[in-house]
Amino acid sequence: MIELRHISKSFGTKQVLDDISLTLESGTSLAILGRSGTGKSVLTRIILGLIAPDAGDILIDGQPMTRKVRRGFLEQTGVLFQASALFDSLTVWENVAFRLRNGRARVGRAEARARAEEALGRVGLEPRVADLFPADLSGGMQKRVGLARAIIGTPKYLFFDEPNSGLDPVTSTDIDALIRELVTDLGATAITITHDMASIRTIADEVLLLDAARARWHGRVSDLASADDPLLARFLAL
Amino acid sequence: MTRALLPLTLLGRAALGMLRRIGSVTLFFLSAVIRFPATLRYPRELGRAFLQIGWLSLPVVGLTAVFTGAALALQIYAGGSRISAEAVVPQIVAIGIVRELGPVMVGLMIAARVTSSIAAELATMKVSEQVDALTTLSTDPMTYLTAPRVLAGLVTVPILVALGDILGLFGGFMVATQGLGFNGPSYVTTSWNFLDPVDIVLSLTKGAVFGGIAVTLACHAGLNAGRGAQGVGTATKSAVQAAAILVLAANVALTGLFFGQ
Repeated sequence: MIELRHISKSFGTKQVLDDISLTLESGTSLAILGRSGTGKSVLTRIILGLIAPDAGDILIDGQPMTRKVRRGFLEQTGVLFQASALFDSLTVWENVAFRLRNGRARVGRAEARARAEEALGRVGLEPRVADLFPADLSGGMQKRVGLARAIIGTPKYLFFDEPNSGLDPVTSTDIDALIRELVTDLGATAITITHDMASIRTIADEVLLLDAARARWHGRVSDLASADDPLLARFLAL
Repeated sequence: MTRALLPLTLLGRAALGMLRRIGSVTLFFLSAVIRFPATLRYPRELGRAFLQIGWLSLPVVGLTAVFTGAALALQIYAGGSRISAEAVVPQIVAIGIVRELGPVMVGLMIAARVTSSIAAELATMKVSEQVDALTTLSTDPMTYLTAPRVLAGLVTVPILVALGDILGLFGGFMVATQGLGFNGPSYVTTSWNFLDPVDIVLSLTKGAVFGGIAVTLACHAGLNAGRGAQGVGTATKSAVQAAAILVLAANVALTGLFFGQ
């Protein structure tokens, strides 16, 4: 369970997040929706510990986010970055197996490669791509490799930052279906940043709408149609 | 009154900014140093750093040293002939290369070649979220990216300086014996006898300091880069500028420390 209590963050004079509170039950998939610059990425970066909040607390399974809790949290977390963030100097399989090879487990090369190829298979990539470098892949394939890297090691928490950005509609739909399948299979708690309502309907159980640094609406996907919020209505109309 | 104080205010602000940056880079260097033992967990990154900073710098460092030694011999011969002191070529080339030109030329070559490439590489990793990806994969970017490079800078640049010194002396030797009529064995004996062990210690110390400066500034600028392509460009430019200036400033300080009155 991820719990946010009164999270606030400013950059200079600009307030990016103002008193955001949220409880995300284990196994729930949350989509964070909002216009550009409303703090969606900042909120997820704060949860991941990449940015410190100015105020507020984060609790993981009821425990405050101390350094030790954060270390344990990250060991159980997979992240798909907006531009995939694959390491250019490593091959595809080395990217996917990075956590296994460099983390606490220190899995051997042969086993790590086998598990990386298995993860690649789960995201629909053939073993022959394993020895390619990220620069040899298309944007859609890079996303899939990023997904494989995120799910290896059976994470308990998954974060997806605009998983469809830069993809064609067909690949985008495939990625959404894949994310839903993986989240369901792994039973993971997932947070996805997206502007895409079609994605939200496929991926998410709950939606958080951020606007003007505040949580404007939070509810279940099934309640979206009946929500009385003009901004949400505009997103729904897209 | 306020307007009259404006230049002082600006000067003070600039001085504070510089002190803040020096403090930040110093802490950054120390936090890399305390991670040296942990870099053994990443032998591939360590090997890559040694290759990138040491081995791949060898051609440019070697050629620069040979040409510098050769030109120095010609200059000293030409200048010495004005006061009938042409015979001092071996001694002055030896001391000039080992104490000053060898380490400084290597330091500047490293600042140009290595600082720019490391700063650009790490800045690109920063703006493309690869550094954040490392953190989320439970890997400390300082241990994985910075410490191996700083360690490689401290170890390989003195070796490059030693090789640069030898090749610089060789350049001077070739010009002196092939073009200026010096006797080969006598040239070598005179050069060697004139050098003091402290000259070699100074040369290698300068190498380690210059290597530390060039690589630390590169990593610091890269990991603190701003957004986008402009951020990468700015980080690279500022790292190379700062490294070149600091190498020259450190050279004066170290020479003063070793030979100052």
